[in-house]
Amino acid sequence: MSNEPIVVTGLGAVCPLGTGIESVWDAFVAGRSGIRELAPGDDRLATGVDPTAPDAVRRAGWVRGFQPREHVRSAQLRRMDWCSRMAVAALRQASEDAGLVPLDDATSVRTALVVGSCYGNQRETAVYLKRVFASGPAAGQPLLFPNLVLNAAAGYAAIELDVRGPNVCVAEHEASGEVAIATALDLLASGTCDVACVAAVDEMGSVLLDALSDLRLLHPDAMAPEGEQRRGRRTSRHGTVVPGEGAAALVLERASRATARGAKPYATVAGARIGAVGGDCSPYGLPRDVDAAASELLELAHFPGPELDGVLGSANGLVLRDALDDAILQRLCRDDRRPAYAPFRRLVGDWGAAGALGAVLASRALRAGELPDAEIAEHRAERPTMKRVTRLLLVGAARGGVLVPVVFDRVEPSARLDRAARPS
Amino acid sequence: MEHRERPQEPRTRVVVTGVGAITAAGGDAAALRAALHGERTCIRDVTLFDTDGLRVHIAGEVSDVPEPRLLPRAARVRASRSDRFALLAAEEALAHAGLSVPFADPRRLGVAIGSSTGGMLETESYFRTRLAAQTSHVWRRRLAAATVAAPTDLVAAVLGARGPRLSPSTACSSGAIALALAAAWIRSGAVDVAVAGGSDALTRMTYTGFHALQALSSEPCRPFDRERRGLSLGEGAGILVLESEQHARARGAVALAELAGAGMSCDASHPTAPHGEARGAVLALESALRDAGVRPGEIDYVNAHGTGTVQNDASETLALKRVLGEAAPRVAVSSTKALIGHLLGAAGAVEAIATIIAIDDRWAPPTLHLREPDPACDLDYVPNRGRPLAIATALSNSYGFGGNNCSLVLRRA
Repeated sequence: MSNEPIVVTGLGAVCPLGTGIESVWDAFVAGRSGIRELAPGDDRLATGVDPTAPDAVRRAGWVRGFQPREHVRSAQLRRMDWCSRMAVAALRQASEDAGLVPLDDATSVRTALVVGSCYGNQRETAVYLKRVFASGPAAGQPLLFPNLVLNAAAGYAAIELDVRGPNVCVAEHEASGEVAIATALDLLASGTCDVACVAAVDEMGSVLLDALSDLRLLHPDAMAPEGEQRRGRRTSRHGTVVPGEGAAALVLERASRATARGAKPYATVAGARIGAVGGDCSPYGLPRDVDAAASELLELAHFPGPELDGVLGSANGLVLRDALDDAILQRLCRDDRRPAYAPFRRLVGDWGAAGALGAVLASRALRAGELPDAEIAEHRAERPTMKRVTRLLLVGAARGGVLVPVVFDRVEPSARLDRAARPS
Repeated sequence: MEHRERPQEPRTRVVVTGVGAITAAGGDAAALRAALHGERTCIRDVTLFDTDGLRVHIAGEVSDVPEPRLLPRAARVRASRSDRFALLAAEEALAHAGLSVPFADPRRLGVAIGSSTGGMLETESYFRTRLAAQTSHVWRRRLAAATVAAPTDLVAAVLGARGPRLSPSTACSSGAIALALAAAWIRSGAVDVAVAGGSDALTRMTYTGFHALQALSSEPCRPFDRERRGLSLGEGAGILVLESEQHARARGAVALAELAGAGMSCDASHPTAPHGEARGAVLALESALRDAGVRPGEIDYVNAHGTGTVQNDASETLALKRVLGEAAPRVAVSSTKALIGHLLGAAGAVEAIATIIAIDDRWAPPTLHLREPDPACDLDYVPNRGRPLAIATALSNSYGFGGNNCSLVLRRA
């Protein structure tokens, strides 16, 4: 096992805030919301049970303005589903950002690709099933079927970037992004790979909206003209969410390797751990004992280094998820000083793999040395206040009591090369 | 293959102390063991859903799914068929390992169960009900268990596991990759024990999908045969209890085998077809041998991916010949998919169990229905009848959509 520091050397994102890390960061810092209503004719709604129904929900954190051809070079593009297109584009951005394109043979076989996803390609799954149920089992479509496996995006990304090392797709509900990062760190620490390209992706479609509606988890504001996701506006016992979609990607590698090739790290990953709390769990969220969950998460997040001074929260409108952020912040308050707090899902909606976007924002924030603070954003000021940060906690939480904290450290500009070269 | 040095640092040995399997052969690993010693396929007519209009009607379907003993009352409605398979196999594996629930130190227990479709069978029913505008409360509740992570979550919840959990979904290599990643947790010291494997149920989506790709055989599959026409799907689960050797020894557990190494790779060439030169399969095999510190000449037996498709069997044979070199012709290679079908996300785990049984019983299981070998498949596939074989070290291969490859090295403990 290697204890050498792991650094983030490349970032990519395709999400409701935009495409490309700098445009996404600008929107995030400005507190702009990516939640919007799709026009009824949008083909992303065409897979639903009945997209023309008067109560069909169309408001979510939709990706818009994304042109896959600008990001994806592979001839496979025409076969790719929407989910794969977003993931491949984000991974290419991150790989190019890290200076890893094209990969040479030796690097290709020592590079892992890890993709997290909760639902995968649910739009084409719906199209496929609709046809099979309508026309009989012989109506299965051969071109569509290979895209329906959860790891389709990981396969396409490997082709796009010629990544021939371990190729892993993981799912852990709402913490799929954080779990993908933890898995990549395990592969790096065990020496299975030298570089890990990590992405997480989920797409939104009307079938999922229908299902969330059936489960009474859809935010009522999802039907309203200005339905920005906000805490405290709930109609059900569990709370409700505004769903979203998108992909985010990071390149992780050993610090010494990054230094040797002259890469400029965004941040160091202090660590990530997957754990869980026992006890009585809500089917859609965390154990009802939120205090115990917060304590457990912070214990899991206890890595050597400075104190946490910023949190990218998991709040998404569900009662227990929002309460978890509150409990964590309470525990991190020192002398009336509260850490910077960025519940980023408020701007993009929530999807299973949204945690990877949190990791991308955390890494970018640490390069800037500051994180937009939520208190101001909640009051809809023109711009959120920026707070200085050196160590950030990304809170990953999923149903069944799963907790996945990921901690990032700032690489001081003057110390970047020194720290990166530190022996294990 | 160029021989590389064995790993220099002594590392934690990962041993298997319990196995559980539910397959078309029956509801436990003993039934699988009996099938591996027999010469009759368990592939038969599908009863789970309608196959009218298709030219294929068979699969390795599990005929009897009892209610898992540990299944909580609250989960009875929403637990999917895959969830039930996983829990049944986990119950058997834990009992086999002599571990009881609740686990003494739940933070030191990890759960990693791979699945390619999770609760898709139930999602299909939900979707069909929605199409007919007949939503019901039952289906809404079942939606919560519809993801591929659901089998992992159910088993983890029942065991009270508070360590890491993971649900790899890499199509047909999911179960093998779950084992590889869980073994890494033990080697890193993150956990003492991991309950790992794979679980998948037959679904309309996979059945009609493989049918549409013309990848299904209308008769039970014939791996490596000149007249092979495709694969036979199956379903079930395989769960293994992995432990550090030290932990197993301290509690007096019997090690069934050692999971000595794993290799993972990607072809990075085509979404479904294997690479023409088998470069990904070669890389996975080489990585697994290197990880285990095993030379090609030390391999006695290979449990092949051996799906029975034209491309897979030829490509896998090529990879084995490249990696095992001169030793390849004398290594027994068999595909157990002709016995129980292709279990997709569970295949890697169930076949790892089959490999452990082969090691334990000193027995090379047969490749059924192999009448005339394909000239491109010219290894010893143990045709139609198993035979006694002293096996010290074995390989188990799993390959999946997306060019995904995983090879495991299992060794007599």
